[in-house]
Amino acid sequence: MPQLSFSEDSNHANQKDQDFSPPTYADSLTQPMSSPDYINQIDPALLSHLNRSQVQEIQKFISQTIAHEVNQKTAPINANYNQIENQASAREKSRSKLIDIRFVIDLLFSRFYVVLMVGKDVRKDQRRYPITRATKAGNMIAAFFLIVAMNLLISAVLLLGLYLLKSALSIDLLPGHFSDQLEILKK
Amino acid sequence: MARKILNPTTYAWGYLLGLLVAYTSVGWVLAAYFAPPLMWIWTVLLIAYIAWAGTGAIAGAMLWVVSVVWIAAYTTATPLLMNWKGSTWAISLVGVWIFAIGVVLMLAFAQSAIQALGWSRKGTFYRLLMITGTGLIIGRVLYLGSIPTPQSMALLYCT
Repeated sequence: MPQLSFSEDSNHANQKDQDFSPPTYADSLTQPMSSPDYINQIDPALLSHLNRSQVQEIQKFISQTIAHEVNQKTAPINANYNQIENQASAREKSRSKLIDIRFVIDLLFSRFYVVLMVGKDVRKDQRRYPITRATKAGNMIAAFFLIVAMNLLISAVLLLGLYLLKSALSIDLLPGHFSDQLEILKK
Repeated sequence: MARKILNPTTYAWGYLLGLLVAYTSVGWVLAAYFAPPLMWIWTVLLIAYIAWAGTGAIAGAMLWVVSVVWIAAYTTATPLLMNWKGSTWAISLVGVWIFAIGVVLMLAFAQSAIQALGWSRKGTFYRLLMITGTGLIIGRVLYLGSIPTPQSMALLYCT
């Protein structure tokens, strides 16, 4: 229903009350209208010829039309909203990685961060930003050296752990200490 | 959990005390293994690096720890007075390895643990260096003080 505005001046308000008239078509463009408002747009002379059930039927028809129009207008918005919701949930799903290791290496003169992630690939499109050939080659070389370095470190840790475990269990695969074997190999 | 129960300042001071005890043990272990001077210098440099960089130094420090344990395994390092061999030697080295990782992590997380004391980064660095350095010296002195003299060794042999 259109609302009346009341000013603080009571005289002015009375004046407004007197000037009040049913909403017109021009009003309907700026303010939301309901089915009784639309009924009021019908010529009063014609309206007086209609009985109560006819007026109710017209009101029902107008309400249904309004509902249909509103649905049609908001359908794309709802579709967009659903799409955004789906994207957000997909992003949320893709965020849950199987492995997510992040740490910082401080080399005193500069700090570097290292991120290692393993998870399901959900990317459908290509990357939006272009990568030059030089960047690609640089990335490949850096990745190669990083993988080799990590591999060596992990191997060193594993080998040392296994060697000490073997020694702790008093298992002698070769006579003497492994350093003696290396010395023999050198000769 | 401990931080929730304890007053943050008390927790911070307790952490520093724990750090002193831990690095006293480091000094004791290094002295027991008769670590060469170069090893002592490298250890102090590593401590300074961790004290300054905090958790950012963990990766580098772990690399150092693995290298040291590898050197110890290659040279069959053992406390001079013990002369452990075989499985005892291997278990002791695993123990030293775990202990070294523990003290590195303890020092790396010290900055966040003692935040309640409100020290600046430089202040924290100097204090951590002082505490750990003192710990190393105390550990070494304690070990040298506990070395049995020829007379006591003879007495131990006789009994």
